[in-house]
Amino acid sequence: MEGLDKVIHQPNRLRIMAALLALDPDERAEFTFLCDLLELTDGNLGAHLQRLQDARYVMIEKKFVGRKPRTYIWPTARGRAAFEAHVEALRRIIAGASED
Amino acid sequence: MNEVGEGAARALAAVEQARQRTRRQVEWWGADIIFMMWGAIWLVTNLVNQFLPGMSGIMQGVLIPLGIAGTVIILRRGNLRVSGAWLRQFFTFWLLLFAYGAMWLCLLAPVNEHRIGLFVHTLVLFGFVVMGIWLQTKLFLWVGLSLTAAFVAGYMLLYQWLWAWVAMVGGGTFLCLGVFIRLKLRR
Repeated sequence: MEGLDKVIHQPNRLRIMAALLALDPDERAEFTFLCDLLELTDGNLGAHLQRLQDARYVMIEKKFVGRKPRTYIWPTARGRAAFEAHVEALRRIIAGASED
Repeated sequence: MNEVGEGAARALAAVEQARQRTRRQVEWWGADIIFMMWGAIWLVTNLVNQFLPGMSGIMQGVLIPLGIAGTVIILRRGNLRVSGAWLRQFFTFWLLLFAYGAMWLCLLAPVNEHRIGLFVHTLVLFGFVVMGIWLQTKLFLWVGLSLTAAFVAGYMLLYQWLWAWVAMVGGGTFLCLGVFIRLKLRR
């Protein structure tokens, strides 16, 4: 369908992007926070994030905080634009369907 | 609405739900425990101040540092889940507010115990008013304003029972707020 982003269209990736874009611009979400929030398994979330990273929609940084490894994720400008365009396309579809 | 339109509407609903859940989790995570903890501390320290004034210094000297340490630990854990600049700004604000309060206490000393106590309690509540405006959280704004009004009214009308009043109204409000956040806002 016109305007819909194939990468973001998948329901879990759509929710991941929605959650990341709900953060303030200076905030970064930790991997386990996203797992709990979206009720996804580690493997499932990891696979979806990989897909979003390949599309350059998110940045992923792994670092040690104290002795524990932590993974932080945040959306790129390209990801923000793609998500907003996707949501706009969804709104157009709804508006069109309501007129029919 | 056709099937495609319904699918789009479901997707938009999922987006909105994910957005709201994320903001609630970021903004209110740990707040329930912090409010319940400080509610209990306000309740106990002020009741001791009212009924066992000789124990007041020891009680405050133990419970308040414990409350500060607990708050720092909870907020640092929250900042590990979603990292951002807010934690540094939050600590800087409260540190400056207490430094400002300490400065005025030194400049105005000696002041009677009731006035010092009222000043310190309302200074904390002023912090809530500022945070309510800063974070656009009406709940903090109204808690700060209404408790300040209640404490000043207590000072004027219930002078002999001021600490019992502060314990019940202030501690009770914070405890209820903690329960409210746990039941309603964190979900």
